[in-house]
Amino acid sequence: MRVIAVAIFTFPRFIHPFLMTSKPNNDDQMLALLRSAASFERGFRMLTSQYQERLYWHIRRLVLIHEDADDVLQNTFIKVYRNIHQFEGKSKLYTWLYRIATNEAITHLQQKSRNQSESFEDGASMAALRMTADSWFDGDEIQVKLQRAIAELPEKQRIVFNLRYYDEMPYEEMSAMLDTSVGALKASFHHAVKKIETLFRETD
Amino acid sequence: MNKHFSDDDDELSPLLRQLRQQPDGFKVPDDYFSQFQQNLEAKLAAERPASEAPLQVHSGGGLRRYRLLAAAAAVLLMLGAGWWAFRPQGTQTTLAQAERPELTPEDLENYLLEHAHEFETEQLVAVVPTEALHYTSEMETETPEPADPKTTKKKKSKQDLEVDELLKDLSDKELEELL
Repeated sequence: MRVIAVAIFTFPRFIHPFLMTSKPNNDDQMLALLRSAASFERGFRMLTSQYQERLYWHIRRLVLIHEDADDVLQNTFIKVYRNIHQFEGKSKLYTWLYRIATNEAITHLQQKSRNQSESFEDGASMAALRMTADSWFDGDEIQVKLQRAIAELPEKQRIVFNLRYYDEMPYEEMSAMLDTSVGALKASFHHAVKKIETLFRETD
Repeated sequence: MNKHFSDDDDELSPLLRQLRQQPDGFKVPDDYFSQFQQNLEAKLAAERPASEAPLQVHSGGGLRRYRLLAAAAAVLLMLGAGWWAFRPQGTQTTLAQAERPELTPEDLENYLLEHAHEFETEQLVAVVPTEALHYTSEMETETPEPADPKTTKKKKSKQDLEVDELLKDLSDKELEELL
């Protein structure tokens, strides 16, 4: 009987390693550490280590330049450090982190646009141009074209496209993160795809 | 591929689908992620005022520690005040005696003589040994007449004796008139 129970419990792990992922437990463990002053620093180091790469790539695809992404990522974690006590657990931890990272990236792009007296989209297009000069970008011509096309999208469509196309975030989680209905998000993604493909055809 | 995304695959052109499978061209310095934690901690330390350092306000622990200390101090204060208010009387007497000049038996005797009217006779008899008493003429006059054992066993005070003397001189008729 015990053997059967163990087999039932462990079998799904062999079928799909993500079926019984330990991530939720990791989040709970981190949050427990973050609630205590004595273990706060350890919990924060765990959180940073767990999410720095995912958040970096999300930010990098919005701001395009490595130095900018580094600044935004640091600001994101500083915000998390100061405001983690406000996380109520109503959403998933990574959804909350993505929201902060997205806001920080948008704020960064808006500040840059203001400094150069440009619109947000113009600022993003300029960033796409500067991206080719960034030593931490070695994409080919088609990748540059794709990034320029994405950069020309309106702010919301651009965020939705990136979250869906690169991060493969489910619409339900995106909805919680962006406070937008699933239907509206699907529509945004659909319009973004059409615009990008149109831009590709125009520049061919 | 994420199962959530497969629904959207039909929307993508073959080119976009193909590009998603390829590296996007973005790179990071080799040790960027291993160094990031250190850089972040340095930035946090630089931005945090020195006075904030011991207070982990975001987690509530620092303030809780100060609240506990304040509560402990308040309890100690209350215990101290309680002990002072209800401390044993013996200690108080000892302190009072230490501050008070020493009394001689003569002082006590004089006090008792001056305040004899404030004490019951039984109290005086109990406190002052008979052989230690020095009778004065005044005291002798105050000493009551030997009491008639048939009428009363109580000793009469000076005032009662004077009333008795006055009543002796009065006839019953005069007494009735007075009353």
